[in-house]
Amino acid sequence: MTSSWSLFKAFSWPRFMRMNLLLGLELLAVVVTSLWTAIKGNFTTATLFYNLCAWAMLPLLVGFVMLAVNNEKTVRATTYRLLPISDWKFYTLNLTASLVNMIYLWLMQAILFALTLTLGWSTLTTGFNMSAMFFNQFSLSSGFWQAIAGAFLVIILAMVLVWSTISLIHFATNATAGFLPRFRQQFVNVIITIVVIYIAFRVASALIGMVSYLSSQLVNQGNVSSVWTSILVMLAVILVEGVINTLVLQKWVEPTLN
Amino acid sequence: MTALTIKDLRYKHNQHLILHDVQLELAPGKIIGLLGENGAGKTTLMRLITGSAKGKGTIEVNGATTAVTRKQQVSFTDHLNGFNSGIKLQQIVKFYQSVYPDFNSDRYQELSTFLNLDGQQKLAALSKGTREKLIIALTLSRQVALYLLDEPFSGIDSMSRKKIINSIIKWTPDNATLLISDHYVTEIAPILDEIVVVKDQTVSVHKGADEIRDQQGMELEDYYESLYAGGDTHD
Repeated sequence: MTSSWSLFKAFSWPRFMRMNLLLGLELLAVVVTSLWTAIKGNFTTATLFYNLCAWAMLPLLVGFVMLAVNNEKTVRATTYRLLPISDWKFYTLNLTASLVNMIYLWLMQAILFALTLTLGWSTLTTGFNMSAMFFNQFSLSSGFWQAIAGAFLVIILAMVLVWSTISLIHFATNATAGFLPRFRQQFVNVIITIVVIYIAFRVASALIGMVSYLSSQLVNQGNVSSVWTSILVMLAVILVEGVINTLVLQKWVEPTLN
Repeated sequence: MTALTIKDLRYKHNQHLILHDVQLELAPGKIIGLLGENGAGKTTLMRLITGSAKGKGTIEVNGATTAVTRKQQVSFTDHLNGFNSGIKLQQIVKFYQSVYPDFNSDRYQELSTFLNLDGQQKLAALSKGTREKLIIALTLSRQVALYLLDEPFSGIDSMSRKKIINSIIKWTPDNATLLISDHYVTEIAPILDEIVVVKDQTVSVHKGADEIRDQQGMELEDYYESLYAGGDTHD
């Protein structure tokens, strides 16, 4: 049997390389825009920080989409589907590898922010005094940290939820090949896609509501326990989708020929 | 124990019946030619054996019946569609070493030397023939009970093809079974112990090569062509 750790490493390595490529491109963009700022004569020690702020979202978004594509390609590749490992392990390791790489990308962004922040600290001090005044209103109580932790968890779970929902659409539309003629497949696949996207939108609106609630709790220093309940609900949805995906994968989803 | 037992296998795709009532038993240690027209279902049959295609019926490989356990016993010519085109051959080999505990690195080294494969080359830079050679080397480097080679010689020049065919027995572990689908019946005929013909959406013929030669007095290619006599032309 293929060991879970070996497969995790095999799944992670190419994704890790791609995340590093994105980071490299981001750094290049920051350097080029900073040089441009310097040519214009506006360079300060905070320029790198400002430019990083401007570019940071792009690799995160592209990375997220790339990993989603990677997840689906992996499932349809004969190379991976021939491996002697159970379908639930295969599915879980595929998602986990993407999640770990996404977290790595976030972590590297945080490190880059910390570095550029340190470099531009003196210039930014005035602005930070204002920020400090803003944050000091809330005092760094346990509620504050709970809200921060909750927000991170919501982001992580939201990413996994989007990926598993994409897989659900992909697997369900792929599975119809086993039951329906090609014309009807297209018709049914359109319906499946619409239904799942509708459900995904409903979940997304619930998530937005959750984030808004979290923000209000952060400002008002209120109780955030209901956020944790919502997080558990998200986790449950991911698990249910995971069970459905694994079953469909096992019974009907076939890898592509070439 | 048989190397492969298939009972009542049926497979449909897009509501089209591809294979039905497939019954097949292969003994260990044999080299078997899987023959049939284009689109007859040879590749599908191999994919069903590996568990990649989902059909109805029973498939047992060296005692393993579930898809996961069968995958442990079967080495199939993977078309390497899971890799980026920029990947180097040595990285692919490293991948195989890490995910297949039965991968025999020494045998791969011997095969890669024999087939003139360069580990530094990138997958995208390979010609069709060299890519097929790599696939053959990777497939045969695993230590399993059943090897499935799906048209392994397409794109390989005739000189190399003959060289590989003549030495394929050397690369197959003792007691392992080799199922080869190929269009070049004449070229693979000398090494075949048996032939299996997929025709009319099922396994229509399963015979020993000697049985055909001795009892019917025909060469394998002639016998195979006689099965289609009067029909359309085919490979």
